[in-house]
Amino acid sequence: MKRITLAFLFHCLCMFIGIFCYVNLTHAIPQLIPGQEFSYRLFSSLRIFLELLPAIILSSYVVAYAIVFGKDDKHIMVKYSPYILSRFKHVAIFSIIGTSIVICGQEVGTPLITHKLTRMLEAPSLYQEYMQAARKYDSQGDLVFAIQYARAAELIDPNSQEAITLKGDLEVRIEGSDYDAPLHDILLSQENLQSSSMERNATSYELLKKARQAYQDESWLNAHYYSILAQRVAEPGSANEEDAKVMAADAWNMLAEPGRFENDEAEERYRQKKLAYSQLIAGNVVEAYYKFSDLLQRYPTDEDVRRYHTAATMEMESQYFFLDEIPISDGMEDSRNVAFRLQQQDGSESVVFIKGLSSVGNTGGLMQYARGLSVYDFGKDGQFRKSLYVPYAKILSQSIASLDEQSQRKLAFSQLNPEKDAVPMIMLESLDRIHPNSLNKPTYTFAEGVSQTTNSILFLPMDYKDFLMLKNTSLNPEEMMLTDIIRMAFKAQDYGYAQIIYGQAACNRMSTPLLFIVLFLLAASVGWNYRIMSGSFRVAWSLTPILLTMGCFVLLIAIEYMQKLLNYGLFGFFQLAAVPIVFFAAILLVFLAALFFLARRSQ
Amino acid sequence: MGLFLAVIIFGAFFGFCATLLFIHATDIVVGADGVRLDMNQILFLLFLWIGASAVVSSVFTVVYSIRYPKNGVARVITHTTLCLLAWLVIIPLSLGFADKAGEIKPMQPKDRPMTANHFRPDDGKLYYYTSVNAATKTANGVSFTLDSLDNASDESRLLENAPLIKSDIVPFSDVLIYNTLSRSKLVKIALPALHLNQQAALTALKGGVISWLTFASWGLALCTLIGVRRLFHWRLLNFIAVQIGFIAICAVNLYYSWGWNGNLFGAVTIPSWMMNCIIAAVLSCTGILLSIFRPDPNMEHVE
Repeated sequence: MKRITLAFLFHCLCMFIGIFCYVNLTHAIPQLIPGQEFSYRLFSSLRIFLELLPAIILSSYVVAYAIVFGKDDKHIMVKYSPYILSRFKHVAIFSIIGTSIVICGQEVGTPLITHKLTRMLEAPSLYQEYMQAARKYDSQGDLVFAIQYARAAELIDPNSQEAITLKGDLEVRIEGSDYDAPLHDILLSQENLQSSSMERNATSYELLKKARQAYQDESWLNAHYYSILAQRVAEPGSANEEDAKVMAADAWNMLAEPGRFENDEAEERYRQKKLAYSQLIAGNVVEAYYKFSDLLQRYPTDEDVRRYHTAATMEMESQYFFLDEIPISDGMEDSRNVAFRLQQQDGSESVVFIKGLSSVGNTGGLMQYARGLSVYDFGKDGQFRKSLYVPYAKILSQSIASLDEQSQRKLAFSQLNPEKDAVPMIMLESLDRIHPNSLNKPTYTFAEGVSQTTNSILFLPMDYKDFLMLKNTSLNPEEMMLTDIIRMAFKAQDYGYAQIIYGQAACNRMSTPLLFIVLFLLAASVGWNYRIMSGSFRVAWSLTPILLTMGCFVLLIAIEYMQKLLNYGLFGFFQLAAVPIVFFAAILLVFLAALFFLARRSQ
Repeated sequence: MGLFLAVIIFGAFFGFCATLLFIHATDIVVGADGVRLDMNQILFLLFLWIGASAVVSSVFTVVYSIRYPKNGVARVITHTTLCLLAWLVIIPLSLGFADKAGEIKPMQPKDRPMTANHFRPDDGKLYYYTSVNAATKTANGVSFTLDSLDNASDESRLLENAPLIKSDIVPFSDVLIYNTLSRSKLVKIALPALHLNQQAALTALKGGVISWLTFASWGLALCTLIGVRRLFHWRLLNFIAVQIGFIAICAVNLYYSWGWNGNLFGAVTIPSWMMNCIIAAVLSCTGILLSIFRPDPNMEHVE
């Protein structure tokens, strides 16, 4: 058996070398990052090798069984003989091993290598794109953005002198600057956000207590702020609400009174803080945020400024997102060309198209950034009503229970569980973290007679899990994971996709392992039928596995095609019931193939 | 005889089912009702596949004689008789019946309109129709340019009474089905070849006895494949040799049907019947010599 295993590995090696030579001789090398030519050839060869792997294993099994059975069999055998029964155990184990290798190659190896090759092919364009972006932001004075893109470009091509020089130059300029980098770091600090989020969870009593303490300390801003917060969370008509109102009014009066200051600068700082704070309380979040950002830059140690900058940031983040949140790396976006339609309760429908989606690491996909988001709304009659387009958007998972009743009614979550499920919340408006006057809004188009309502936040009437499924959906189901295909087979119709395509793909992929077990059992039967009678294997027969591999490859293509046709036929008649039918038919075939092997006998 | 009949019955049934499934797949338009075949078309397919199975049956009888090599002469006589029966009776009869029943042209373009409410990719764009007018073959909806780094365009376009997508997806009706079933190169080669062969056989049948005998020389070459069943000491190699021989003979004859005049190296022109006779002569001589000088290597040596 050891010799046969070695021979099998040698066969694989010979096939790989043959494929590698073929790729070198016939495949033209596309434009790549310098130095990746060999890797490209290697991975291209590996991809072809994995395509041929089922045929290679199948042919190797036939030859190996022909040798093994030829050596063992010197007696007349009848059907279901003890010898065949004892051999069946080994055949079954090797069938399962062979199937596992084939499925691993198809489900893991091929997607990984294809992904690697795609990245290699797209790397030169991506490098150019990042370098252009780095230069653009550099010319605009956004050194922090510029260096992010320069670093990403260097990650793609670590040997590029152009990227290394640009990154080095930007690093020197950022180190020498006392403006952008420290401010950016302060703004991104998570410490303040955490303390602020703790305040959000406080009760009205706790907030009122803080307000009173601040009032006693003559910290009028804090006293007013905490009393406003207490007012918001207190039950309407409660004593705490009344107390908070009184405290807020008192604190505001104290704020309005001209105070005594050590110097002019202190007075100016107080005036600016009060102005920014007024904007925050009035709900002018954007203005408040930039004013506090400006103050934070000038007085980074001022406790009031830090606190209210954090509060303004929290308010901002509930309505807008910052452009620098969008992840930039050497990799590509997680998905491209994500499209789906949503049927509304009144029969109208929306068509959503996203050019690219990137998820933020360690969030389990709960936070995504969309590039090039388009939403088209159509009426019941199929006529266009309105559309929006936004270059970047942020998508979050929002639990339905956390939405107000009006939003819940508006979205009409007929198939969703309002207590457990979440929906995608799309933030359409974005800002630059540092520079004011940079609000990016969606572009709207309206049909005649349609009311021109716009939104800064959009809730999609769909389960967030379905959104993640659609993110992984491809128009070619062969590129998808089996779990996604199965889910898609049940939901395709709801989102504008053809159920029959994903249904037949689900049937195909689920029955493929069983089909390979059948083929390996049949390979054992062929090995028995054509076992070597005249002694041992001869060197002159070495070409047999290669010839068999080619034959098996053609046979497998034909079987796969027939499988698809059959699945289309069954799905056309039985719809989703075809999935279990195909599965049980495949199990029946395994049983018949096992019986066929057990019925082997001498001539 | 049992094997011969089994191959014809199962082969015809399998081929018939496969063709029906293929026709079903080519007719599918996602979201629309299917197209039903009439009885004439079903009969045409059935007879056609009886003929095709009879062509393949000769390979099965040779393979059977490798697996069960006893009574060598009797096997050769039976094989030859069955080949004669196939090429002089079964194939002409089934082709004649098929011709009378009608014809299916699977490679013809379909003219079924697309349906609404499904995404369809075409020529670097993704189309979504919200309503389709089947009479005018126009639709309302939207199209998006599929994103790639080669194509940085952000274009999305509203479609109002726009013509339906009409790409070259012959023989399929819907681009969604085409995308999953047209990738196989084997099908791209096999389908036109089968159609071409069917046409050549029908032309030969209508041309009279001599014309048919010329075409049936293909069967003579296939029949003599039994001559290579003892070529190697390992019967798996004999099996492979028979398969390669079958593919090679079919390929040569298909090449003739394709329009090749039989010109070899610009020196001599050999008509198809002569080519088949030469092949048959070589294979027969090989078989006779091997049967005289080599004991049957396919026999099992048991104690």
